[in-house]
Amino acid sequence: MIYTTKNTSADFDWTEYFTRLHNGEIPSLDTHIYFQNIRHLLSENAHLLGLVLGDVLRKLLKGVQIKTDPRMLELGAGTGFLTRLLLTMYQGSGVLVDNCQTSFDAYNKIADKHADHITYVLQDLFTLELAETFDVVCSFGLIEHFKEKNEILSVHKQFCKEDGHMILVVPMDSFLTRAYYEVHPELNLGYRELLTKKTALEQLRASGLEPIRAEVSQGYVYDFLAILCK
Amino acid sequence: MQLHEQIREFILANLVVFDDDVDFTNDDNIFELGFVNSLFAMKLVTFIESEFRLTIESDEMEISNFNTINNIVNFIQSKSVYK
Repeated sequence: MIYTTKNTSADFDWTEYFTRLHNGEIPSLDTHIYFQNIRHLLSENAHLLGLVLGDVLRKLLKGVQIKTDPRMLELGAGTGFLTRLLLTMYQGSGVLVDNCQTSFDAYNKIADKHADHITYVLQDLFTLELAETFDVVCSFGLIEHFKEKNEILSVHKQFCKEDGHMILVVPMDSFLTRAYYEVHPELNLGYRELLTKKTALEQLRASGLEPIRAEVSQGYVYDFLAILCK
Repeated sequence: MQLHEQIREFILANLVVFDDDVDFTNDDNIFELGFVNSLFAMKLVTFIESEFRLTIESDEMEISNFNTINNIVNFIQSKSVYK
């Protein structure tokens, strides 16, 4: 279906429009309505996110040898969306870690049949003690909250098997992402860096990670970057 | 089995609500109805690729291809091997 903007009707009077503009008449603008329209256009859609993130993950992991039934660890997991999506695509089992009771409660509300394959650890990342290392260590919307990234990236490395992979998903710096956070002040809380692909890769390399591939989302309400690392 | 029924069965097997509450036509938007969770779209993509031996390209990963049974069927039929 073709999307048309408001002023593209065939009977729009361009002559009148330019005449009024030439005469210094500024078209009226209901800022509240426009703001609400933009907020609505740029609102989170979990179904769309699943599809767009799934596509990004497929491109990111194309040709990469992921062990059968991989063990996955998601740091700062929230409801574990990234891990649950990876489990949908690659099977396996996972551990979600977050220190937020609200996230844990939210996870329990939406826990689906993957719940049998997921363990939730309600604990701070920096005091995390786990007896195993993982085939995939991942995070979604975590590292951008840290100005100094060495420590948080070290936690990723610490729990990743030597032959395992790390997947980091972060919001990317773009006009779209900036606009998204601008019109959603209720989500724009705390410290958050928006990174370009170049800067993100530089920061990962500076912390001793080896980026293998990076993919940028297409078609979501903000842009995000997914990076596969060793 | 008809393609429509095959897709309907897959949706019904992945409901997040009780079967008794479910009643939808081939044109109803399954995402807006809240019958499936946010992982379903990707699960459906994987199902279509394996069941119908198709490859779904990045530029085809649009929600409008997968939001109704009719759209899913039309999408599958539009792929060359199913023409």
